[in-house]
Amino acid sequence: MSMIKIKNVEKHYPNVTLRYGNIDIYEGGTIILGQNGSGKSTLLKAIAGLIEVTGQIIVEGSVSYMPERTSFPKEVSARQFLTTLDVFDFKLVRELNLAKQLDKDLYALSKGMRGKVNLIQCLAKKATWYLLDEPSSGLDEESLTQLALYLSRKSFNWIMSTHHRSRFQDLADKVIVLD
Amino acid sequence: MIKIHHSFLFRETVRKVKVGLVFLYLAILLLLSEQNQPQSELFFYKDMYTWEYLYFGLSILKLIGLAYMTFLWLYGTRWSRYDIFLFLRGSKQGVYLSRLVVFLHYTIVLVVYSILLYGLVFTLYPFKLSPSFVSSLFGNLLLFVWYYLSLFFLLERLIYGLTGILMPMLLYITQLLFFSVDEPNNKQQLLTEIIQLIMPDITVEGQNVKVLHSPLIILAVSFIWISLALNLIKRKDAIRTD
Repeated sequence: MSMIKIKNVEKHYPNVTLRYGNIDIYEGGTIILGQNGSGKSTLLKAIAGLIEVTGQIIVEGSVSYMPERTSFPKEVSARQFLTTLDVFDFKLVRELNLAKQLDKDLYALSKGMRGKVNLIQCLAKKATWYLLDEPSSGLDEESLTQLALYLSRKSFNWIMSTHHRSRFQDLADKVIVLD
Repeated sequence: MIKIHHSFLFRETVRKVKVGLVFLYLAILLLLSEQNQPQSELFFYKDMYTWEYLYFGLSILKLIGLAYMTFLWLYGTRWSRYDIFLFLRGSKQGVYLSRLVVFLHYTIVLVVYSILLYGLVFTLYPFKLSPSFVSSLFGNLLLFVWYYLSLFFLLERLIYGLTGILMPMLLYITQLLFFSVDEPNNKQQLLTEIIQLIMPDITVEGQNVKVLHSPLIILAVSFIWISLALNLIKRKDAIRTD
């Protein structure tokens, strides 16, 4: 059984220090809740190895990550983007109603559509853990419903930071509240 | 990783800028070649015309190379940002080093085209270029490109924002205005040597390529810059979180 162990992890910023103490995350779905600035995104970035922290994070297995807000390469279509990253999954593309937009430039797509591309690049990658950072901020209502359906159907390990407690709480095996 | 960078970077804008710079260089070379002069005069002042063409042609080539490097760095790190998708597919250092390799490749291609034009336009003159000059120039220009890319690599990590990217070009132009490899007087000698160690330059004297420091020294300094940049990359977050 895979797990993620967080031991005395701290992230120091110039004006604030985020302290996470000890957290164990087991297989299944996990939701991270907390107010703005409580460190939800920072925790996911730390698990993904994108930022340096003090303490120890042990991740058993590989991770795939969906950033909250992100930039994309210029002059690249959604298809080229996903193919280049080797995460083109047409089934997922169809499920998220992105098929007709595939050959458009990423920056010609709406914010919601780019959010879907971001979600696909995360979910289509083979990994032990899927880290979804505030998917609700980049996805429209319809896509969030599709994501909830997707998470309920698939049996994989995901950790999501979100403000939409009601929508995802029933799907999660564990809820972490940061204060 | 190199393949991903290439797919995301070799886009229409990059291709257009490269072609634009090559044509601009061709136009400048044709102007420099002064083909409106009578053949007798060209022969009479052969040394002067040769030096003028070779010297100014090379000066423009270096500036075009640096401008292209600056553009690549701006495009690849500020305008077209996708690093976050690569950090989970390789180490931080690997992501940045592979991008450096891609930039090196693009710049070398531009330099090769430019040197070919440099030689080609010279054939309009009724005299010849020595092959050893061309090969020596090519070798030194490759070193020049490698050195300045390593400097970009460090300064882009060291100074956040556009300043870090524009700095190599600005420093190069500054040293060009104030110091020259050609005629340093005694007082300037030491200062010029130090400046040339940080901002090396290539120039021509007759049909000889002139550089102040040996290639080994320039390579050593470039590897110091790369080591420092890699150390910075290792210590800092892969993505900004503040």
